[in-house]
Amino acid sequence: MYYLNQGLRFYSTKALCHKQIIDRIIRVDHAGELGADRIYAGQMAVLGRTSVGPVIQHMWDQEKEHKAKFEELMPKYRTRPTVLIPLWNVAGFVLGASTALLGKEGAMACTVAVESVITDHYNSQLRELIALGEDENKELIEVIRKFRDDEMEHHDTGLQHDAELAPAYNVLSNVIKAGCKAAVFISERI
Amino acid sequence: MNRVTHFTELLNCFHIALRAGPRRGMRTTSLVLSQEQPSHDNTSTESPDAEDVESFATGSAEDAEDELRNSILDAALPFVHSYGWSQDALAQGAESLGYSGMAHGMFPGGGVDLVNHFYTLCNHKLQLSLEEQVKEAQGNPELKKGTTAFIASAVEERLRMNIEYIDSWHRALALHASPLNVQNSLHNLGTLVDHVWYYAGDRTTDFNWYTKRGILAAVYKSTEIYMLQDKSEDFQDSWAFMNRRLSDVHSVGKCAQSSQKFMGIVRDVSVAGLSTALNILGMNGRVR
Repeated sequence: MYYLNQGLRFYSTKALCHKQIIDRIIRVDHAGELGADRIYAGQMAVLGRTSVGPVIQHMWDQEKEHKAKFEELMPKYRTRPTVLIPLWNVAGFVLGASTALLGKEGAMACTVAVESVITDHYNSQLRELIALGEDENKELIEVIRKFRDDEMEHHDTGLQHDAELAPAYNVLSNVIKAGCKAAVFISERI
Repeated sequence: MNRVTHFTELLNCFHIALRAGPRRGMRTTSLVLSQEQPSHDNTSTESPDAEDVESFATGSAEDAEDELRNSILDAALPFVHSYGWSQDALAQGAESLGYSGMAHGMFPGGGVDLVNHFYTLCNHKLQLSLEEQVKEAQGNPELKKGTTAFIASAVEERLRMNIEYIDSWHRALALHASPLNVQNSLHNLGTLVDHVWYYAGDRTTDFNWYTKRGILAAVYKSTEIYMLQDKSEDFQDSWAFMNRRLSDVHSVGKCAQSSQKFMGIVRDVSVAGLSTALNILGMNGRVR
């Protein structure tokens, strides 16, 4: 954290690059957890009282925890949230609710697609942070590592609950994955 | 065999130079080469990202160059009074440190680099002072100000730093307003208002982050422009102007609150619509 306390002078390439990478990571992760939170909210609005309700509720609670953690880290690292927060807010809910309307398999297929992209994304962030300096970014690395494991668990839960039996599973999954990747790309930048 | 290794080495140099050249400017290329040369054997196995990260993590040559630039900029600031925010001031600054006057070539932006440097320095000074104030207020609750009072005093403190160059400040504003420099000037302004809000205790993580900073930036900028033609003693008129703008913000805040209420209603209506649709489709809880 030393580089955050020292003033960034106008010509200070090293500190600036370092800070920019951390900023980008926290911003996109916060956006992701916000989106996940909204997706599960959408699923619960539709499937809340069915047999998979408790499973989704459990995953939703974990996502809320993740979001709260990043909301705590944001002011700490002085990161701005992404500009597109209102958009992800609506888009997440719509994605969750519309896949849940396809039935519980649809909802689970959506979970599997989203979580697999997120897991990959967290893994690449971990690589980047470790390359940047494992000791300096210890806190962030530990947080991301734990969350990565949680997301992986959600991914497996989805598969256990017949995600692959969803209508047009391959198409659905690929469309959602592409959408998630696009959202990650945009949230990293603005 | 020997010739082959030479050839691959040459290729490697070329590759690194290509990557490093446009990003760092050709000046540093030779330094970068001499640094990266010994490790060129394993660069091919590393991903390009890892290489990027490494090159700035170990770039002590770049650090030295940044230091040099900063010291020339520091030295050039006193010359602004007589030479304006210009290359001439930079040249004078470099000469006063014993470098050639041609060193102003290190600053492709010319005068605007000097403006940015001054802005960044002042922002840093403000940050330190606000940090101090917050610490003092923690130890002694009597010193604690209300949010509006804290913001008003922080903005005033920051604006007072510009008084030193008020005669040529309109030139600096003009340089910042040029489309080429918009990115840097917005970044400077953003850092400034972020410092003020952060130390005022703002911890928002939603879209309000932007509205709050945007409003404060508008107040700051309008007061900064007002100051240019303020002839009153100790800029009293400017501070009165600033306080009027800040009280305007209160009414904006009220407006924002009512719009938030409206959004709440929109959400309730859409949730109701969704559950109606579910009932029509027969997908409500009782069926499943």
